[in-house]
Amino acid sequence: MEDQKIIDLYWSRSETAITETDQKYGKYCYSIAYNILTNNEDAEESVSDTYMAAWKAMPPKRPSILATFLGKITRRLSIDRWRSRNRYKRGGGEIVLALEELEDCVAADQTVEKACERKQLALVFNRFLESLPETERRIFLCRYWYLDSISDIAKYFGFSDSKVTSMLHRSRKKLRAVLEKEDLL
Amino acid sequence: MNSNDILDMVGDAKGTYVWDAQNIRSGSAPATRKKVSAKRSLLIAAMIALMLLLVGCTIAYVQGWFVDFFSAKSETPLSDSQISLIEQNEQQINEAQTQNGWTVELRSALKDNNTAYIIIGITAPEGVDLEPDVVDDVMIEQFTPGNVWPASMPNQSSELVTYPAGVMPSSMQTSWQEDGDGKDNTKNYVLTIEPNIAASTVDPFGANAQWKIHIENLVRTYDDEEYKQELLNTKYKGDYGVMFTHEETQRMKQHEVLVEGIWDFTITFTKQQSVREEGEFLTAPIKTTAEIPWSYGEDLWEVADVRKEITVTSILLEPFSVKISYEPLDQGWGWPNIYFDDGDLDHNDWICACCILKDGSKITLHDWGNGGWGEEHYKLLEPDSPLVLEDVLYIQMPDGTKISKDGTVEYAAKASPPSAALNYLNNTSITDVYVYYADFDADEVEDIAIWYDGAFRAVCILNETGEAEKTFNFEDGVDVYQTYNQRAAEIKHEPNQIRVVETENDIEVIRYFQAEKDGLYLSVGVKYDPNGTEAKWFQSVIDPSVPFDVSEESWKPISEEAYRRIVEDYQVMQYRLIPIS
Repeated sequence: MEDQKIIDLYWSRSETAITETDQKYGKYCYSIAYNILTNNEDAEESVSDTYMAAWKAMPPKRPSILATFLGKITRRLSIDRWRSRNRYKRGGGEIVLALEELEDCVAADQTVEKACERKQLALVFNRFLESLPETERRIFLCRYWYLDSISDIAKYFGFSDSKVTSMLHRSRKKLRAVLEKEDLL
Repeated sequence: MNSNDILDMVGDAKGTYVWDAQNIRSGSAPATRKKVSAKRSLLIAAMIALMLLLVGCTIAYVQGWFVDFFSAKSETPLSDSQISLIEQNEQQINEAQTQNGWTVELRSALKDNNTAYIIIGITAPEGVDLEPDVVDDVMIEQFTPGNVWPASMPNQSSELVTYPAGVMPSSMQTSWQEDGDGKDNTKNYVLTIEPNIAASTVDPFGANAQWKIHIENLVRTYDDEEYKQELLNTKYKGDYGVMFTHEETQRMKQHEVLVEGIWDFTITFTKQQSVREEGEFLTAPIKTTAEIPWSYGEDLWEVADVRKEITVTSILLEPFSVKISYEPLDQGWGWPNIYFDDGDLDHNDWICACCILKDGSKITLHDWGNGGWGEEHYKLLEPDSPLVLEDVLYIQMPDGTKISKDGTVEYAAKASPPSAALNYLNNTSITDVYVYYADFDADEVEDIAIWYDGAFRAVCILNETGEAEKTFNFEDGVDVYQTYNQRAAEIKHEPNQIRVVETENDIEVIRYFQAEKDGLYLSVGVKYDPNGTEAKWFQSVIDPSVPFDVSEESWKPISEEAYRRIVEDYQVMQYRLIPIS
C-alpha cells in the first residue's frame, strides 16, 4: 500500500493503519531496533511501541517519508530502552562503540553549559550532513544512525575497514568543528 | 553536551539522507565503487591493441585488466602516458593451478617500491556461472597476512631475508573485475598489497623478492535469489520498498564452498624497479602541517586531534604511491598517527595532497593511514590514478605548499580571509561574536562586517591576499562608513549572500536567497539603527531577469518570526542576527 494511503488510514483512525504499517515497514523498524538492542524480544517491543507512537502522532503529522518517520521513532525508542537497560552496566553491541566514537565530537568538559534547542541542533546537524560528500554522509549515517558495524559498512561500500574508520574519524572531526563554531559545545 | 546527546542529534537527520543510506544498506542503490562493464573492458583492450599495432610495438598487451582497474579508480580517463606506464611495468606471470576442475591463475602483477597489485583469475568448470550480476562475490577467504606474505625480501645488502606467514603486517584489499572474455565461468580479482615495513631494512618488492599466496577453498557468498523471490511473491507480495527481517537476511546470505582445494603460489617480482631517488621532490627538508587525530600513550590510543607543524624530509613519488618521510615529533607525542590531509571546515571538501600535472589536471593523493611502523616515520599516500613522473608539474600539500620537481618550494600565502578576521577578533576584547561575510565563498571574501557586544562595531576591509588591510571601528564616528559603503556598492547581489550597508539613518543587513520555485530571488533583511538597538524586518521578492531593485518600495515589512522562519526554511549558512535587547 502506498505511504499516503497508509497515512490516510491513521488520519481516519482506522485500525488497519497498524496492520498495513507492520506489513510494509515492520521489518525495517525491527532491523533498526535489533541493531541497537541485539535482542529479539526487546526489538519487537520497540517496534510495537513505534506503532503506538505513530498512532498518537498521526494526525496531526503527515510525514513525507513514512519509512524514515517510523524509523526515527524506532531508533529513539530503542536507544532509550538500551539506556534504561544499561544504566548501571556496560552493554554490548555497536551502540557502545558508536558512543565511544562520538566522544570525539564533544568537549572534554562534559557539563552542559547551554540548553540547546533541539530544533537548532537538528538544523546545524543537517547543515553538516549537507556539507559532507555523498559517500561520507552515507557512511556516517550507516554508522551512527543505523549503528551498523564497521565491517558491514566496509562491505556495503567495497572499502577496507581502515578506510571506513578513517572516513568516520574525519567526519566526526568536522562535526565537532561545526558544533564548536555554532557555540553548541 | 555528551556523546549521548550527539547520538540523539544524529537521530534528527533529514529523512532523505537516512533513506539514501538505507538504499545502500539494502543494496537497492549502488555504492560508490565503480565496476567496469565487459563492454568497456573489451573496448579498452581493442583500443590498446590497435594503438600497439599502429606504433609497431611488439609487446603483446591485449588484456587491459590493469587499465580497467585504474580507470575504475580514476575520476578522469587514463592518459596515454599512464597507459604506457602500466604496459611497460606489468609483469606477466600466467601461472595456473587446477584443483578439482577449478583453475586459479596468477595472471600478472604491477608494482612500485611500496605497493603491488596482482591479478588473480578464476576459471570454474563450464556451466558454473560467476557472472557479477548474479554472484555477490566469490571469496578467496579474506586475504590476510596469514595467507599472503613475503617469503623473502632483499635487505640493503641485497641479501634475501625470509619471513614466516603472518609476521609481516600489510594492508590488503581485493576487488573483482570482469575479465572481458565474455565467458560466464571466469572472473578476475585484483589483490592490492601495501606492506607496513621498515623500508630502510628491506625492499618488499625488490629484485627477486618473493611473496607467497596460499588459497584454501573457494567460497561463494551470494543472496539466495530463490528464497528471496519466494518471499517477494508470498509474504511481501505487492509491498513497496521491502525490508526483510534480520532472520530472513541471514537466511538469504549463503556461503557455498564451491570447491575444496589448496592453491599455493610463489611470486618472484622480476620487473626492474624504478630507482627510488628518481622520484624525490625535495632537495632539503620543508615544514608543513599534518593532522594528528590520535597518539599512542600510556592508555593506548588517545585522542589528540591537533594539527602540528612537522618537518618533511622526503617526498618520493612512485607510480602507485607517494611516500612522505618526516622527522619524528617531540617527546611526549608517543606514537602519533599522522595524516597528510586537512579537515578544514571552511572548505567543503577534505583537502588532500595532490599532484598537479603539466596539462593542469589534478591527481588526488589519499592518506588512508598506511605507512611505516615503529621507528619508521613515513606515510604512503595513494593516488587516484598512476603517476607518471614526467607529467607531474608539482606536488601540493594540504596546507597549500607547492613542491616542484626541481625542488623549488612555494609556501602558501599566510592569512586566509577567515583567519584575518579572526586574528583581528582575537586582538579585541570580544565576548559575543558574529562574523558576516560579504560572500559565502571564503576565497572571495571582500570585507567582513563584525557584530559583537550586541551591535555592529567594526568592518575589516581585506586586501587581495585576504589580510585585513584596514579596520574601521564604528565607534570612531559616522565618517568611517564611507569607504565601506563604496566597497559595499561593488558587491554583487548573489544568492546566499549577506550584504551589510550603512544608509543614511540605518545599518542594513540583507540576506539574499534563491527561492525554490519560479526562479525568484527571495530576500529578507533587517535594519538596525546605528546603535543596533532597534530592528525592523523586511521581505522582498525579486525577479533576477529585471534590474535589481533595492529601493524602499520593494521591501515589505514582516515580523521577526516570519524572518527567522524564512531563513531557516532556506537553510542558508547562518550567522545569527540578534539585536541587543
